[in-house]
Amino acid sequence: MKQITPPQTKIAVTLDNGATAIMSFVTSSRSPTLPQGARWVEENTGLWERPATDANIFAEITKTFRATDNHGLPLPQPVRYKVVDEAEIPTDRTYRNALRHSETGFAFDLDVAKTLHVTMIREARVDRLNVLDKEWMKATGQKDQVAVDAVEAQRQVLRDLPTTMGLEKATTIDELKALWPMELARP
Amino acid sequence: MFLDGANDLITVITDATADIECQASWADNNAGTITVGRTNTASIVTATTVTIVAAPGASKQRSVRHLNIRNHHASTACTVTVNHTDGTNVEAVFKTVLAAGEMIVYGENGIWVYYDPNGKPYMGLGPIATQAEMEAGTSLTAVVVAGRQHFHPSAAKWWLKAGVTANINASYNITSLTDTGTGDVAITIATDFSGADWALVMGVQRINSTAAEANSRIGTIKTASMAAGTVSLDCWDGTATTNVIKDPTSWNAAGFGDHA
Repeated sequence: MKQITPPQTKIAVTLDNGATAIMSFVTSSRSPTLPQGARWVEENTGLWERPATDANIFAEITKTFRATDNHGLPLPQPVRYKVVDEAEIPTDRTYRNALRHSETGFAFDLDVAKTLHVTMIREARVDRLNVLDKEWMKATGQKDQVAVDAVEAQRQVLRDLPTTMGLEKATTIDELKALWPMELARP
Repeated sequence: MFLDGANDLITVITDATADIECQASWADNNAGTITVGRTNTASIVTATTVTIVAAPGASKQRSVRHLNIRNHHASTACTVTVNHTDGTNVEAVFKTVLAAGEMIVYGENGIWVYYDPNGKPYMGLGPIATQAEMEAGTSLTAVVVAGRQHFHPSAAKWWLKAGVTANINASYNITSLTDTGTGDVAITIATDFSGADWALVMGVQRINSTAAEANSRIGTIKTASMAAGTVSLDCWDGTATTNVIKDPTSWNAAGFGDHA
């Protein structure tokens, strides 16, 4: 039997921590036993199918999002779900954790995206700071105060980056994305 | 089979008006002189007893190397009994019901093989292995069938390959995959494990071939996430100081353990 990509229905699940999960709900596949709401398509093929009904989706979401982890710590819980068209789901994952879904569709939470942007800048500057640290050590060892001051000035620029980028002025995701320091490579 | 002297012979008993065709090949020994021969018996079309290999004669031995007994009838089945007699004791060495077109063959290795009307041998099967036998994985006689092979400890209970948006490319025993954020997915299994202690093997595809820490990808099982029917995975880059959580190009994983 040729392996085929199982048909899937996309479901946007809103969690109580504000995050949005995207579930690929399988509507036909193979397994030893039938999942919730499924029936065998043909005997002896092991292929089953199930519609994406509210009952089946709810059962799947309930199973997927456990209340607590193995240590007993609470996990984010679903508060709402909606079947969505795959074409609606933003393909740019730069600010994936800022993705939100509401009755009007998908949108990015700009404040969360700005936080993620700051994190990305901090991550991107690590390598550059490591290089400058070595240059600073070398200049210090050679007692070249001019070079030491020059390197330190560059390091301070990097340290100040999150606050000097003017991220607060960005009013859209595209504007935010454009605010990237010239000194650093984009991730 | 071996015939010795003037009284040993092989007969066939039929119980129906079918069309049983018999052919025998043999080798005779006459005080050191060996000759080969064959006996093609006329079609047996009644319920009767027929000698299909005659006695070799006094002071001779006959080694029956091959017997071929086929029901040539288009529809009638027939019970066929193959007897070996030494003139006093008659022993049934094989007995079966030959359906139309079926055949039995005795080979020089002493083994009878039963053929279907298309000339394919019927396979002799032992008992079908139960779930417990599959899970024990020790029986040398119970037969594995497709519907139970997954119970063996060495069999993958589920597997999947998926893209970065939790789009499943191929899978087995999976009901959903959920993209819960950057570098983070939740897997839901169709037929669960019997408990939370099972093994997961995984690999994530790096984003390109350039050897840089930021381009590498390391897949891990999310802390305390393994349950009987679900598990969460996350993915990190190779940055030494931060190990940033990142999307891979693809997720590849499989689970091994004991089914519920």
